[in-house]
Amino acid sequence: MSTIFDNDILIHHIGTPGLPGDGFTAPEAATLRNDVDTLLSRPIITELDAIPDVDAASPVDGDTLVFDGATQTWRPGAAGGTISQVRQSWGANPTVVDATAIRTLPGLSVIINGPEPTVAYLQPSFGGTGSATNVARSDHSHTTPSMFRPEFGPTGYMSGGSRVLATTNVALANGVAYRVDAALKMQVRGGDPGPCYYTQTVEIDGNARTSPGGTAGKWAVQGVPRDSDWSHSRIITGTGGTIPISASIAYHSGGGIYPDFGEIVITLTPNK
Amino acid sequence: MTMSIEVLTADEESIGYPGINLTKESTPIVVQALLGVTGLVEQSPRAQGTGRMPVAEWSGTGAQMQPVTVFLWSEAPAPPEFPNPEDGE
Repeated sequence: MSTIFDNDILIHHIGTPGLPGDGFTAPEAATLRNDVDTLLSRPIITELDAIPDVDAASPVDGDTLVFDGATQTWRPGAAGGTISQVRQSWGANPTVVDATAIRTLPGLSVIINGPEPTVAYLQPSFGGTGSATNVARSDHSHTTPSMFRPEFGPTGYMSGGSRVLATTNVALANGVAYRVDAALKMQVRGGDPGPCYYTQTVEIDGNARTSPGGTAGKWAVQGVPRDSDWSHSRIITGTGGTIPISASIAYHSGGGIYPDFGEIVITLTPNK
Repeated sequence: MTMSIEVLTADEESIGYPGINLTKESTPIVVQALLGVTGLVEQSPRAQGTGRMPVAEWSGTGAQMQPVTVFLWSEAPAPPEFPNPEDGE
């Protein structure tokens, strides 16, 4: 304080409130009062329904807030995780409303894909092997087996060797597996007194099947026609070309034989 | 009478032709025309392993140049008579 002398006038300076250099003016004070009034006038939120854009006066059990675009408000609605309707659209139309789970019975599988553990893929339970991605209908048809019947006539007396009765070539589609059945059906007569032993062979694409010979095999009686059959089967995958199929008869021992008329019954059954 | 030709190759392939008009004279012509068998030389017929005697026999050369034997056979003998069980025999 400076020195006071007689007759000096003492003047007191009263400073303005606020930080040094930050004056609090009258307009600022008015703004502050308005802000306080605004804050104090806001509603007191004690429940969701008190929020201005929520209209949830009467919620029921299980409800959650669902946004209603028409009113631009949040209103009570069904909780998530349900499907409003699962319905079979044919036959008796069994329908499940508000389904909470979908489970499969045998024939339909649930596949879990590693990277998407929350996604369930439904897939028919495919039988067998293969890569087809469509499901076959129960009334679908398979390729009709093909049949061939090359015939042959009598070829006269046979005293030795092996005689080809008939041969043919059949075409197999490329990549298709076939069961190839070839059955020799013919009549054989004996040519001489006593048992007349013979063997029969059916050959499919170079693979032969021959009947036993001698007393354990086939034999004929002199002058008596007998039906005599022999067959062979193979599984062959086609290459788009043909395969040879033939049947033959061979003299074995005893009296000679007469190979009479007959046929090879060939059936090609595609494995589809 | 029904006859038949049997052509046996060296590798035991048998080819047969039946026919009612086959004779000892026509057989060489038939086998040459149908099978290309040439150089046929008639042989004395010999009883074969079946016990039957051919009507005629030839040796020759097949189309594949393999030796062949040609037989002319007569039809099989009549079937043997089977006893009738009702005869009590």
